[in-house]
Amino acid sequence: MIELTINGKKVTAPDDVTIIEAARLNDINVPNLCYLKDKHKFGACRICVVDVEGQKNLQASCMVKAKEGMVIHTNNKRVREARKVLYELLLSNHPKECLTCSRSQSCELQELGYTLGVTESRIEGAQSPAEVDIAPSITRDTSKCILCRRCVTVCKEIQGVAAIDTQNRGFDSTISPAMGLPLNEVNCAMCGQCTVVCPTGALTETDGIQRVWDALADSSKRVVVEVAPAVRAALGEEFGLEVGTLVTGKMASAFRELGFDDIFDTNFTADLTIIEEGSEFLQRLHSALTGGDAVLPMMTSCSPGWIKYIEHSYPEELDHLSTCKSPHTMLGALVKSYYAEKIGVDPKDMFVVSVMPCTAKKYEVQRPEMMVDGNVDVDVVLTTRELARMIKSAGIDFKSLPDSEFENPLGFSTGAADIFGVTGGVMEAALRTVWELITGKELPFDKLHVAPIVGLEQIKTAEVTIEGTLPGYRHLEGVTAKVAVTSGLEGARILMEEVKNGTSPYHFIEVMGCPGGCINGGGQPRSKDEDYRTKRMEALYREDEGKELRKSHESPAVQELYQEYLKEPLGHLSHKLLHTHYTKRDKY
Amino acid sequence: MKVTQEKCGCCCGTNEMELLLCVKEMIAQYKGKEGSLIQALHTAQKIYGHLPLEVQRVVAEELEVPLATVSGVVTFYSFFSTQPQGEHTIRVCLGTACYVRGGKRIVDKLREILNVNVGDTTEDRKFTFEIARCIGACGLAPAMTIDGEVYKQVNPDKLETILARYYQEEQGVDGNDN
Amino acid sequence: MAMTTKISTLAQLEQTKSNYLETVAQYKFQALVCGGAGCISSNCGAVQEALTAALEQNNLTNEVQVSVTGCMGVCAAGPVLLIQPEGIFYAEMTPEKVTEVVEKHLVGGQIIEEYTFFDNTVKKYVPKIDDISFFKGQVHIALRNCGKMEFASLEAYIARDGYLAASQALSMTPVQIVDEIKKSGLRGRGGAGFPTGIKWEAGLKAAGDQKYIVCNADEGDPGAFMDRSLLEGDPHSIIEGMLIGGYAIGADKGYVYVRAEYPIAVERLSAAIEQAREVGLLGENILGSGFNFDLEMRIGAGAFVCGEETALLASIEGQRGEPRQKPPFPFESGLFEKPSIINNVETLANIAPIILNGSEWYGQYGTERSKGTKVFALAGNIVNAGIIEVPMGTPLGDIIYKIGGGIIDDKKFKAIQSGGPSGGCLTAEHLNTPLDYESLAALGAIMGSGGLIVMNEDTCMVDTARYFMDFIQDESCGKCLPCRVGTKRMLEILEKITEGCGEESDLEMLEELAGTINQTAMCGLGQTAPNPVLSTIRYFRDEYETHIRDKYCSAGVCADLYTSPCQNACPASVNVPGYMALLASGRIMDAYELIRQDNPFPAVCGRICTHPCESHCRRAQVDDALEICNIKRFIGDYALRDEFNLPKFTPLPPNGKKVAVVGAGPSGLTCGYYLAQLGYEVTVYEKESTPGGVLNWGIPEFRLPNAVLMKEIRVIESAGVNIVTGVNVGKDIELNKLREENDAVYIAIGKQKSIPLGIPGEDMTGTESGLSFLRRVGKNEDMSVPKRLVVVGGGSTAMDVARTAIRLGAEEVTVIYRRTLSEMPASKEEIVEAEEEGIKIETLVSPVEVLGSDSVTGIKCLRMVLGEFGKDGRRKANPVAGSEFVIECDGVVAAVNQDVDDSVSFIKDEGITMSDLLKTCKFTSKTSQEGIFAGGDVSSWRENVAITAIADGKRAAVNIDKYLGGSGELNKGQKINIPDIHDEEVVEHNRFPTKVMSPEERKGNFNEVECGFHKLDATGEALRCLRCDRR
Repeated sequence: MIELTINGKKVTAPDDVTIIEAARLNDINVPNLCYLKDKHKFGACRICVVDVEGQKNLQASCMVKAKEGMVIHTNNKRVREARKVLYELLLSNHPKECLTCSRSQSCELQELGYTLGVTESRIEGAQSPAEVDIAPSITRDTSKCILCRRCVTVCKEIQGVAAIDTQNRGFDSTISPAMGLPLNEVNCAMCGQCTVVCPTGALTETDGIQRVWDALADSSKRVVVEVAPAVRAALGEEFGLEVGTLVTGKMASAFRELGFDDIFDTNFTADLTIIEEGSEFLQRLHSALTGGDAVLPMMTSCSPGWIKYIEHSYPEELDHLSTCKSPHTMLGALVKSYYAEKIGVDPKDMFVVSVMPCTAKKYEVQRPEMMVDGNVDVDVVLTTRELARMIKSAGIDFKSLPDSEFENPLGFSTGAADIFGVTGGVMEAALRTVWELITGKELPFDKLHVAPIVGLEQIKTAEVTIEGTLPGYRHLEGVTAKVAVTSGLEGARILMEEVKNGTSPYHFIEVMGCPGGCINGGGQPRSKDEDYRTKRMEALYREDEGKELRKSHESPAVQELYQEYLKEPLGHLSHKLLHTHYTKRDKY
Repeated sequence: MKVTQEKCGCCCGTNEMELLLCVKEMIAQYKGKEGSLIQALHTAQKIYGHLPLEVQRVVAEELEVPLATVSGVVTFYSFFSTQPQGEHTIRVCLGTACYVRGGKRIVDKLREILNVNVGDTTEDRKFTFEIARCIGACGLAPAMTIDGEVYKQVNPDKLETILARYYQEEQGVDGNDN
Repeated sequence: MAMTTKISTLAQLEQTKSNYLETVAQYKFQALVCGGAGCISSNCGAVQEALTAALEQNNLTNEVQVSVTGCMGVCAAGPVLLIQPEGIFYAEMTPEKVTEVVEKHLVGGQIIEEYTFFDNTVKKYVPKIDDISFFKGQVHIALRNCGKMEFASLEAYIARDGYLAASQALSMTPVQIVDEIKKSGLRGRGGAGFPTGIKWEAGLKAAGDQKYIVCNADEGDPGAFMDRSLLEGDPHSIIEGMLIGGYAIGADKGYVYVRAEYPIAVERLSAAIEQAREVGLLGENILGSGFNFDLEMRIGAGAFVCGEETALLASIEGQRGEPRQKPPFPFESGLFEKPSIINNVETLANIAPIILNGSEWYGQYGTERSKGTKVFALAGNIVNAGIIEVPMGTPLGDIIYKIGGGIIDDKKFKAIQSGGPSGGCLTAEHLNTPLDYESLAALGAIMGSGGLIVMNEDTCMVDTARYFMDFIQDESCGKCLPCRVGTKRMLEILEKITEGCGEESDLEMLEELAGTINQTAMCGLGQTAPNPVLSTIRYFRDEYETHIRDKYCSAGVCADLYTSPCQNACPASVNVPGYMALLASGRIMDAYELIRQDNPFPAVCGRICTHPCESHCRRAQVDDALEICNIKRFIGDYALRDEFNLPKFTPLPPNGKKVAVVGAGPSGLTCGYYLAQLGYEVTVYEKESTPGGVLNWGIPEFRLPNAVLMKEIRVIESAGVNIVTGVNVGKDIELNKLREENDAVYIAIGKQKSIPLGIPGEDMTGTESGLSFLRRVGKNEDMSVPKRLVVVGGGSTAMDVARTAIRLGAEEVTVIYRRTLSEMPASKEEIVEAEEEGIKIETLVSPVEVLGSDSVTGIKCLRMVLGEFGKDGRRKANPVAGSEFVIECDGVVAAVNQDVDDSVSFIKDEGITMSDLLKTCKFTSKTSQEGIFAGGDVSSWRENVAITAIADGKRAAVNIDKYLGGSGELNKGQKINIPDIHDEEVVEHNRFPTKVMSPEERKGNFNEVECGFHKLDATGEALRCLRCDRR
């Protein structure tokens, strides 16, 4: 521990922390902008400067380490005046469109002005060159960019994609793909992590709201909504509820208030995915163990950001991917086939809206592979943030809504489906089912949670030796199944290098494109809570544990679907509706 | 048909594909060598003449550096150009002496004749058009240079005659080639 | 000469040296051709070829060894050639000249003096290099080999003790080396001046197996090229410095980061590295020491910011050259996150001599805290532009005037920018400043890398600040906000000011932005970015204010603020190109009227104006400046040629407001004239019996005939100005009363009091002041003159007194002046004409006592010598002890300076002194008293010449009109259309002749000396105008 003086108070702080952290630990907030705790220390905006006695210049408190005996002023005249000019400089190169900006009232730049008490902007001048690039998932409006470079750090270092970087120099600097190419023409995974960290309206999800309003207003359309598991663990944050509050019931009511005709749950197809993917895995395993031609490890395919990443970065390894579509497109395909048939509506008049924690899914639904008989599986994808905006603009008092249920037949799910929203969840759900199929016994873990793969670490692995196999699975007796789970594309890269080099020891790998899984998806609310990921994760496990049925194969709704329609896993209809193939893409 | 003529630093072919292969070959020496992106870009520019996207792509793939990062470096340094440079460089002096003697009128007229803006290269890649702060020929104002040769007391009306000389040279060379 | 044998021991090193020296000894002459970048641009290649050919032709190849050397320093005089061992220095060589040098000098033994270096300090050709002022004050340590040996030869380097220091260092311990460097006091020459020894110590102590030494050769400051000279002229000295540094800190690998803009440096340094590798001076087990060291070169790609050390490291790593926050410092975590020591080229060039000769030897040069020497690049408006190396602490004035040879065309020195865009400026008042780290920092400038850009009076400091800000914002990496946006905003404000759109709040905003950028930017580049602006505001605030408030650029640089340089230079802003065009097309009366729109005294000014317009005339760049003043005289005389032809003007109808003017000199009359034109009822009060002020009695007839003056005053009267003579305001009428009876009052009473010499005997009969002499003579009161007269002073008054006295029969007139002829304030023509008339001018003489008992018998004087610089940038005249001498004479006139006559005070009752009252606002002409304005010679910030008095009068008219509710727009009558003249190619033609009376014709009479132009010549002269006003 070190001792130092901040604003006249003697305080202590751990060794090796920056001044801003030392101040925070002593309940002193230093205004800042580009800094993002634990993720991004760059010192670009200089808003967090403080006066350290004995230093000629003001020091960026996010960069400079606190040292024993330092005497620091975070709020004296010198500091305040400098911050004010800095803020005015920021504004002088920023469009004054706050009232109509989608980030109004959730904008960190706007909030900073209030925090600093800036009431005038005296500085004017030319604006840096800017461009608007509307990609399927992400819209870039560089005029609103303040060059904090959080997005670059996330894209390059956390996601390992580096689709965007700083271009040009000085006042002409912009953040963009190489040579100003549109995002859609480069190796962007569309994960949207950049939109989560962007402090202003420079990087946002591409708007889907208007098309949904239009569909809702169109009486000839049957508008179906489905919602991903991670949304229910985070949507409440947009309405001021505690992080980790589950709002499943209120959300269903909100959908009803908004006027959707059918309110389904992507969880339904999450359960279905387990059946299809589990069967596919067992098939590959069987083939491999019996000398057949099977590609292992198999890798999950629910995360479209991950899919786009592997298509660009490892185009030769696409066979490792499960052929299963992601759950929401599966649901869309079923709505426009099974359900449409059931209610006697022309699939062309069905309009499927999926609410996702994800921006990549906006891109995914536009892929030509995600169509059945000329109909797109899903018409519009909304992010959690967009749904919140719709609810607000419809005048719905979300917090006071009563709980209600999803509708049938595509609204039921087991607990296994809920944990699809968190890293390790898909693997756990799959293991719960596969294990029971093979051994006839329940997965031997406390509360069915596969402890080694629970948590927010980048790469988690587990192995289980299969014993007591049922007839038909004797070839698996004594086999030690090795699985790996990763979230975030940098983790995926590490595992893929092994796969590419043929040294991967695993049979089955779960990959989610965003760090921590869908709970931290690119479409999720931007949280200021330091533990938001853990809290959201715990919420999903709570949802799972609260359910009676917690294994996908136990879902009566899924069983009914097979009986009535699909007949068998990996059958002809499954292949038509629920499976897909992938496209090799250029590295950049 | 428009014939593009690239200046090549080595003796390999002149079409773009061959040049790209040449770039690939020449920068292989930097593969896996720590921090050699800028040196590789120098080499590539020497061969290809400038660094358009396709050259950057080759460098990115060979050196295993993300393309956006390569482009970030290319656009940071003024020595690297992403646009093809003209065969000849015209610099109009806009130092004070030339400015008051009508340097700006030369700029306007050239903009009209060449149909490009300052800093750009003509469509036929004949001329790159730039402005100089002061070339130290104040007594000869207004002045301009073409490839370093000073033209003094330039009258905007005479510009076309001056430029014509550079087109004639070209025709002469073509004549010999065919 | 390719070296084949390895040099792996000290003995082999010494053998190489003696072999080389033996070879050299076989030649009779050494011909050293400078191959520095400057000389390459002036085509030294052709000179060298011609030299070799001529030597062959004369069979001298075995007698003369030709070497191409690094930069000799005098880049502006290139290509240069040095003949050794005689040390004869030829400049501005051409192939033809060099052939002649071979034939006459090397064969014939005859030095061709007119081809040698012209030393501007002593104004003559100086053949011997050791006698040339440029070289005399220099001490070459870093530049020890530049210009003295074949740059491309490793043997030549070794022969000059190259690598001997390395050999010595390798036998020392790293700690010993670090101590020696610490003791030497060597500080980093890249800019910040951090002690090199302490840096190396940190490197030595840093933990880690892999360390690097990095040479920063990214010299990016505009106007700095000393590192370039070193890299190109003596590459091995850098390699040796790095080798020693690498050994001292424990680095086995070094990187040299050279900017891409220096292709020759890249080429020569890589060749040298290759040579050193070949013989084993780089590589493994160097000189048998067991120490391994190698170098790699990295070429920059055009980014100024890469000179900043953390950005440089990023660039070596192949990234965008963006700086990062310090700490950690590079010595902790630098290149590839390994401990790295970064030294500048010049720093490294100093290492070997320090090791070889010891820290004590090094410490004998320089000042207490800035040891050693410093290489500077001299650029800008200086005669000897080039590279110099002087001991730290050399005064700025010595560098400019002794070594630098002074300002080109003997213009006035205005400022010097030190340290490039991160530095600041020094002005004339700092010429005595010793150039060292501390002194510069104290004045808000920095040493920087050593670029010194000399600026003359024609430089606009606001524009200079704009230029640097443009550079900096263009080169900002863009990483941190204050530098990225702040410098852009500062530039925009400066652009606004130079375009004439500045606002009063701009200066404040500039300072606020500058403060914030300085306080908050991440790296040194950003933190120092505002320096040029802060520094120019500090020393030239006035110039900023003039740009902002008057929309006026006195230097005539800010193109949006003026139409032509001559008009801009004219204090009264007379449309010179306009009247040239009118005269050229025969519209002489229109020309006269055009002049009168801004100056009611064309014929007067055509005779006595100091014509600053002519020194700004662009025609001078082609042949000669236009003779503007004389043309104006011709136009004036033509218009006033007969009494009945006086030009008529129509004033605006009376507006019922009254203005009183005190003093009917040029300022008061001008003010009255323009006010009358606007419809004011104007009365001008003059205490003398005739109007005209100093123009009337203070300028002798032979320069300004009274009749001419009176004609122009009559035109002013005819415009409605009422002149009341013989009324002494303050005595005959109280100022208060005047103020009550009028709506405004303008005071233009001039400076009527001569400042005494302040020496004993001054009160004696026979001693008088210049003004009183001119007054009594000018008014025909007392025409007596002493037989032998001494006039003290060097201005126009002194000249007028002397020339009048000699016309009135004085037999011997001597003018004594304390400084030299070139510093005399009187015009060159006046001095020449005075001498022609038999007046003796004694310079560097100062009076100490007027001798005599009842009346003057002589004057005791001291010889003077020019010493240090005074606050005004002129050298002070210091007495030479024991040099007293006496000039016998019967009379002494003191004409040294004038002041406002404080004995006249017209508002005693309010307790306000004259000087209080005359503290006027420069922009509004207002005094501290409501409704009272003042101007002309009484204003403290202007030169005391007629044209500024006129300009002031005009300005006061504008301000009085504004004060009294008018628009401040003068009534200039009908618009006069200026004819456009067809573009023709400029053909060189010198000035057309004017007639001047011969000294014989002038004797004993007061006839005008200058007779002006003939009409045809005047028209021809007007046609020489380049019409800079057309854009």
